[in-house]
Amino acid sequence: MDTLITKKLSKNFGGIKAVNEVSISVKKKTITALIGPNGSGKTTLFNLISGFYEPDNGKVLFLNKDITNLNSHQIANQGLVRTFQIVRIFRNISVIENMLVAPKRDYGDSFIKTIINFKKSIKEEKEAYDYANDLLNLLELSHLKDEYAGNLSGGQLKLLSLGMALMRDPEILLLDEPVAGVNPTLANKIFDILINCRDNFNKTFLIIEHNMDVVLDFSDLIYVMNRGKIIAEGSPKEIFSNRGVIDAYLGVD
Amino acid sequence: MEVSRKMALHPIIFLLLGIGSFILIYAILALSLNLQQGYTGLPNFGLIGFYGIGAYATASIIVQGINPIIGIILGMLIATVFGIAITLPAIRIREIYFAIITIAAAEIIRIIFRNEKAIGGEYPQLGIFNIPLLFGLDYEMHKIISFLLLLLVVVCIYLILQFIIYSMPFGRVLKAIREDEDAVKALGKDPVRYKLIAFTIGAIIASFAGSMWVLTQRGITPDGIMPLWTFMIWIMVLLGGMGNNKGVIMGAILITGIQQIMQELKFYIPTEVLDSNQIISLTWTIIGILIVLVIIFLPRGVLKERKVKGSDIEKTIRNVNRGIKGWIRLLLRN
Repeated sequence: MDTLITKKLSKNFGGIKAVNEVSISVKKKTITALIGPNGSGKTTLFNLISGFYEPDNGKVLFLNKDITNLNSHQIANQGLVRTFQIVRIFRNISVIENMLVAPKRDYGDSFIKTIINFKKSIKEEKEAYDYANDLLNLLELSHLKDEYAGNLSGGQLKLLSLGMALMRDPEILLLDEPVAGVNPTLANKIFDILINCRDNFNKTFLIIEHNMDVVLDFSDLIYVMNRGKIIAEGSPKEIFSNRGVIDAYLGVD
Repeated sequence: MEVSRKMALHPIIFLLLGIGSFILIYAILALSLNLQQGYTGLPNFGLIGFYGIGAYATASIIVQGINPIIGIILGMLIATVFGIAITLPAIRIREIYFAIITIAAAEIIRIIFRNEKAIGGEYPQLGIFNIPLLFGLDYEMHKIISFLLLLLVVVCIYLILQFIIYSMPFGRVLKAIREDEDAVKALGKDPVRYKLIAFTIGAIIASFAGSMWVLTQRGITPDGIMPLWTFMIWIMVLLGGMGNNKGVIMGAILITGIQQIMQELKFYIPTEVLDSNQIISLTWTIIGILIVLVIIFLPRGVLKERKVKGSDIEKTIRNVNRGIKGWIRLLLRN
């Protein structure tokens, strides 16, 4: 079953066709990679899917529901969560608070409901707090949990934003360069975590990544974009023997 | 006669009670602005307009001979409606434009009050005055009760705000919105809803401050809701420490204290040395120097925003499960 489908999605900025009739489908329980040179429209595609941009044309289907015209926060509430290429975290609050902003709460998300059911909201808070601690342990950030998020290093910020996205327990996670600036050992570990989520918790991932080693090792399916269009799709093996891809992305020898 | 002579206060205490009441009114306003700007990042430059709504609603109701409580509630209701009416269109735009819209809104309110005879009486530019003393007390008791009442109000508002910000997940999202709105959206929270609630709570508190002013100072003039006073409250929040409720109360004490003491000095300094205009200028000079010093040496204000650590969250969870004793500890610890 396809978790996420885009149908002829298009977006123009002035005269530039940033995303031009892109149709992709992401199967459940897979890690799908989206690669392509800089400026090929990958992040714009993410913004279209997650509701940060309004598409000029086309449709986005998530779990067979049309989410094309929903707001970004509504889409996130349906279970489609994205991270940003330039990490967006809350710099002047502590790491643990960053993690606790994220989860979906039955009571805590509403001002009135929190006051009426304060005890239940605290129970929710405790569950979220325990889960956040587990995730921070997994991401090797637990020693920094009382630190201001703005004081973390670039790689640690990437990990934190991944952790915040995981706090929401999403159906599908759109990760924009999750391991850029992360050392290779930790990068492999992050992908091990993703694979663990895929295999044991039935999670689905759509990932933009320039690090070809991890893409090759860990992805199930690869889409290649160039100049706003999908120019190839296939398994890692097929993609890296595709002449067009090599010309567009990896460079001609 | 006998009683009032017994009650006669020492003049210094009488003076201090008056200054204290001023400080407490400004502390309420500073707390309100701190919720909007300090925690949520909503630069409300029209704060004094909401204060004006509360003040005029209460004053005109009292003048009609109706129970002031109705005036206070009416002021809060109008402030809520007005707050939502300006924020709904303005809340989606960038901070600087939001600031401009709020300052314009406050000026509209002031000009209406300055010219509308239906609200301000025969001479609206003079304001509404001659509000009766609280509970029909004599002048001195009114001063004492005003001060105690305001103290109680400030403590209550402080505790409520601290609870919202440090014990409710709601407050955490407000801080997150201040830091990065798009990231909040990506995490499935609607910033508009949160900002609307935060702004409205702030507007209600400001309106309540206006009501309390009318009740304790017994009048309101259109000049009392000039934009200047909004800026004064901003100075208090900046000096005391944005995002720290204790800090902004300290800011209110500092700035209002300086102003009131300088006004009193007028009576003790001979006019040949400094006349009253020069004293006002000197007051502003002192405040200006203070601002510069604080910006250079304490850019985040006298008291910094409190960092919430994991252990704080654990304590909150533990205290809630400890019954009434835990709750008291929770409120005081905030």
